[in-house]
Amino acid sequence: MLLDGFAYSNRLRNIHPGEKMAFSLITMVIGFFPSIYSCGLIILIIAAAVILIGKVPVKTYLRLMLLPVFFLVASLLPILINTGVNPDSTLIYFIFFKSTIGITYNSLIKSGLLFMRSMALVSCLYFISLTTPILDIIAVMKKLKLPDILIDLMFLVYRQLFVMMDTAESIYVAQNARLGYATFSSGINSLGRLVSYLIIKSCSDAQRLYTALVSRGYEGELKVLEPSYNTSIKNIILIAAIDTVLLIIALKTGGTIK
Amino acid sequence: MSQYILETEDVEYEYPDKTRALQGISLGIQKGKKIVVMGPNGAGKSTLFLHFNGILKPKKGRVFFDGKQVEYNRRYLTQLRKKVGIVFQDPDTQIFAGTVFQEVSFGPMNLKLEADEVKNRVNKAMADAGVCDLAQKPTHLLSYGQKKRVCIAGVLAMEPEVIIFDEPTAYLDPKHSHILLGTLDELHQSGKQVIVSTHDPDLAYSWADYVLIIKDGKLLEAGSAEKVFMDDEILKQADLKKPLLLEISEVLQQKGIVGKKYPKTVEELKGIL
Ligand SMILES: Nc1ncnc2c1ncn2[C@@H]1O[C@H](COP(=O)(O)OP(=O)(O)O)[C@@H](O)[C@H]1O
Ligand SMILES: [Mg+2]
Repeated sequence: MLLDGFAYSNRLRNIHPGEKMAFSLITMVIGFFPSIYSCGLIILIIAAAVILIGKVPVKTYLRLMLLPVFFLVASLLPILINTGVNPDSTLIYFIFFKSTIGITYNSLIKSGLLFMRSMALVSCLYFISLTTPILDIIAVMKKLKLPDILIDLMFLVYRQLFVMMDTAESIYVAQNARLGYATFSSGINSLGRLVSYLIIKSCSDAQRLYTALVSRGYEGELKVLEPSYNTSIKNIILIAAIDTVLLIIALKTGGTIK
Repeated sequence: MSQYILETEDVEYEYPDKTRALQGISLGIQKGKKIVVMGPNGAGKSTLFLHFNGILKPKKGRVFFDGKQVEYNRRYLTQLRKKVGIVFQDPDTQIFAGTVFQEVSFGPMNLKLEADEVKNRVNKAMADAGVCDLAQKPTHLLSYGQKKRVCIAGVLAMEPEVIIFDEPTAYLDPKHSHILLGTLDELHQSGKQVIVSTHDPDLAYSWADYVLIIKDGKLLEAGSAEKVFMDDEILKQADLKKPLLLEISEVLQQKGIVGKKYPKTVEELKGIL
């Protein structure tokens, strides 16, 4: 939910969400090209945009980037380290019983490239989540004429998530205050009650929300006045320029490290 | 033209689980008066309000708006809901939109107004409810009091003739209750019909022109605030406390300190003494 807060408060908030989404998506596609240079550049450009222009604190951004690193490292290890390698072509190796275990030049490139590509794609996702509120994303989806029912559902689920979290938290605090989580078995019991209460409450909340909406003239479509963002030629040119450069670099250097 | 903006005649209502929430209730809401509806929990206040804008249809009896019987077809109900707005008790089950501006725009959008007109109405409603500075804030990051005011703005933006507040001061701190009462007064002065339900006899006594007391789905008593709250028998039946100011003035009268005067605020009391 940290991300959500930044999405509303960052300095890139008022840029047309369509422009931001286009930038993120196009850059993501370029990030698929296996080039360490273009991927590295994507990571740097997005970090600069989010931190320098969007004013998201450096520490927060680094912490967010570190999250996928843990998963990545775990999954890259098997690619990086090989068994039964030919000692001649390895960079580092040791012999374990009768087989050689080591890192080859090839496996280093392969895992390095995978790492950079993953981080570049993650950067693109963070760019969107840190600069664009869900509601703006939904507004763009509306413009793209996605089915209303799908969009309205996303909208309500997103909104109810926060209401439910508030409720869950206050119940948890109340249970905890009465030692509801003091032992393992009472904890399980309390948690069960919390969940069943949340389900019942969601149903009655839904009924009430419906009544309130009908009172305000709801007739099956959740219409609100979407904020109007100005499309900026400057931004579009900038996005096109950055992505063209990235694409050229990706195509020229794709696949190998010289 | 009727003297009553809203009327019910022997209205009965039963929820699907057979709870008889209204058991033949007849009452009238006089035009231009500040109305308070009182009654213990479960008395049927909220159920009554849902009849006022046609959300619920009486099982028996009739409902009138401005002297004409309410019809339950889509066209009539759309018109009725445009004229009778309800601010419900829990803001979390009313607010659905992302930002305050979007939330407030929902009603006017349903009235199928032009975008510019919607914008004007939203801005005016936000100003009247005191939430202008929150316009672009996401609704899930608001405080309880702020959400409450957003709900009020959401109803105001439809520019209804009648605004019903279902327990508006519940869970509000004294300061915000006081601000809210100011808002209610302003609405009344601007010519809106304001109907409020509350548990708070002090609030009812000092604010209302006319008090309706409901119990077990029936009208127990109705009349001016002085008349209703001076009837100890009725108060006992309805499980209501006597308003503090009324109690004080009765004691003062018994002791012969003041004449037959009924101050509605502490300031008025001081003025008399
Ligand atoms: N949706 C519902 N389904 C079943 N019973 C209900 C429902 N809403 C209210 N009731 C019941 O109807 C009666 C009147 O409720 P309500 O109008 O909410 O009272 P009040 O607003 O005065 O507290 C209560 O007994 C309540 O339990
Ligand atoms: Mg109620």
